[in-house]
Amino acid sequence: MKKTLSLLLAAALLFTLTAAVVQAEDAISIGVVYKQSGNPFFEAGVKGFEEAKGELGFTFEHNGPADSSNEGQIQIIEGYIQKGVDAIAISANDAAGVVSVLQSAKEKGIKVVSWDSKVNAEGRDLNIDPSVAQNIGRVQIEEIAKQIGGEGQIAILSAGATMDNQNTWISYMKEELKKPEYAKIELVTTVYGDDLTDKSYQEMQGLINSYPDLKGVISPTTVGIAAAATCIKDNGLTGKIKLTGLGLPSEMADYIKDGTCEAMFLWNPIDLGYTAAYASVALVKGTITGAAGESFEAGRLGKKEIMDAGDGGTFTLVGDPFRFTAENIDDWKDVY
Amino acid sequence: MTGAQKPTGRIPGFLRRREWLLAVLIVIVYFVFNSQLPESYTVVNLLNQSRVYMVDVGFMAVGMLMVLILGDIDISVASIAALASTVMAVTYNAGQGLPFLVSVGLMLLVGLVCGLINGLLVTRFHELFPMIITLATQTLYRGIAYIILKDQSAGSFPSWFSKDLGYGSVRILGVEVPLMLICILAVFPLYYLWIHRTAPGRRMFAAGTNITASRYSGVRTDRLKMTAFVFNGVMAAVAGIFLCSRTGSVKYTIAAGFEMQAIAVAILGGASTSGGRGSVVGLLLALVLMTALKNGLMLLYNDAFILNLSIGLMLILIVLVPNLWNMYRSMRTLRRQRLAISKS
Repeated sequence: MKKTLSLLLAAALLFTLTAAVVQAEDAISIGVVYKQSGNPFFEAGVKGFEEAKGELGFTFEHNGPADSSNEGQIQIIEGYIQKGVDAIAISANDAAGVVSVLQSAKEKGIKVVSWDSKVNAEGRDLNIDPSVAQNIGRVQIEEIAKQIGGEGQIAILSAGATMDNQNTWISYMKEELKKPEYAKIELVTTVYGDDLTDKSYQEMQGLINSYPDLKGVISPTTVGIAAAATCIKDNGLTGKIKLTGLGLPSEMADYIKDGTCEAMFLWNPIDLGYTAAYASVALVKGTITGAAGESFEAGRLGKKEIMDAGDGGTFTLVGDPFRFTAENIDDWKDVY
Repeated sequence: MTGAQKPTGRIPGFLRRREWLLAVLIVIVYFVFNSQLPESYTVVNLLNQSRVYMVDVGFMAVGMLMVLILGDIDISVASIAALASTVMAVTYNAGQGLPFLVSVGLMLLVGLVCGLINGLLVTRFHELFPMIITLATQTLYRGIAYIILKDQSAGSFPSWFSKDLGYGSVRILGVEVPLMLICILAVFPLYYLWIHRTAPGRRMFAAGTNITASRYSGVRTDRLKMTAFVFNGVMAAVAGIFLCSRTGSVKYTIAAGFEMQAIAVAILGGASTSGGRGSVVGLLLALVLMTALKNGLMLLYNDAFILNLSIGLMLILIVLVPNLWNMYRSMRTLRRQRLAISKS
């Protein structure tokens, strides 16, 4: 009697839950993976996918691990493979750490596009770079040099040491610093906040404590620059320690206006997601294979050329970094 | 095993055994998700996904179960896995580089030493709670991993390591079964015999139930504890091997938070933090349940927060509800007895 009752209850539960069954249609499906959930930069990137979806008519899902972990990204990718998506568009936390799982995806015919932060060549079909990495590195050095008056100690507050985009930009920054006009600028250290607000804040506090003569900080990551701005302001060092880097206008508007960060850069993350979506669809449809020399139409952004990335894979570019200052920040702070 | 229980209350008899309860839940969870996702949520796909949800946490939980049976706890296992993986990746890649299997051997050695340190601290300082000791070693081990690797990652393992062990599968009866799933399933029968069918295993349950009584009856309880912590450390390193084979790269943050998943699954499987209880069959079923549940939620909601939340809910459901029920039962019995006394 009691057994029957419990089984009946279980069956009832089952039926209520299965009342609404919706099954997938034949449209192209894309699985979007980003570095971490809740990061406004990637929320803006997802807007780009939304926009492209309206024009191309694909379906997509998006997710990122809560803790910026490689394991979390693998878990999400495995879920997408199981669902049978047609393409995966990923911004990788560890360029090497997702190669194996993405290779298993490619074996099943899934196209892989990396955007924002690339996956090693063996694990991807195409990488979408926001901008020429060399420019991104150069403009930030130029800016900090201008702000600190051409001499003094500077430090870099990066995201993760395994994030390829960060490392590439930092290597170009170091390259730029070798020029004679920057001879009096000393890069004292590079610290990593893992794109976590609290860790970035602690690292910034560490910089303030360890280097009393620190003149400037470059944070080429949206989470880092916002945490650094808060930390500098909390310590009452606004104007004493200059700050620049890559930041989201919506998060940084107040700090730009009060002078904590006189100027910073970013490209449009919406365009980045938009291009990644167009590239994914072109790969799935077979109009491109991801080889150097090919090109594809990316909607309102026009034709995109695919080039050799020099790491055994290929890439395409989205645009140029834009300089945000107190004069223009109000035009952008509500956009992304 | 949880031992024979007297039939009490109105929970159907067979559901009172944790193993049966888990088995029923697995079937329910499977059919619920399968009806929602008939194409992607299948037995074959679940077998495939066991790589993600079952294997590395599973090995940690195997070690954890023994520690829990003895009434102790070890929250440093994820850090042990991280340190062992770091040592493996660094020794394999450094300078001349060691042969890969030697590095893996070294990894197991690191697990053993870490477990030994935990065990020594726990058995030499009875006044300190194992929770506090392993909280300290948790940060210590991961800290060493950080000192070795800093914020960099290390990897480039031999290709067979990720191709065959990480993503390889064996065809059994026409179904692709991941090699690593076979590895962990092979451990369970041996583990069952050790825990439930040998004298040392029995002594562990006895010591976990009443350590003083066991000590006075001549059981070398400290030696049992050492065995459990060392075994736990080695299992954590084994978990690290399988995790590395999937990721192909090691960072000091690897496996962060896995210790709580391992403890949760062991408790879900019938173990108790107060010791003396635990079941190998229950552990296996709890792992299967967790895989089935997490994978289904991942497919339906694609949200990491919901996965963790579900395990929390499941723990409350399985652990708390029977406890509350028993509490209610004993209160009612007590009231009846009082009533009988006052009448007489």
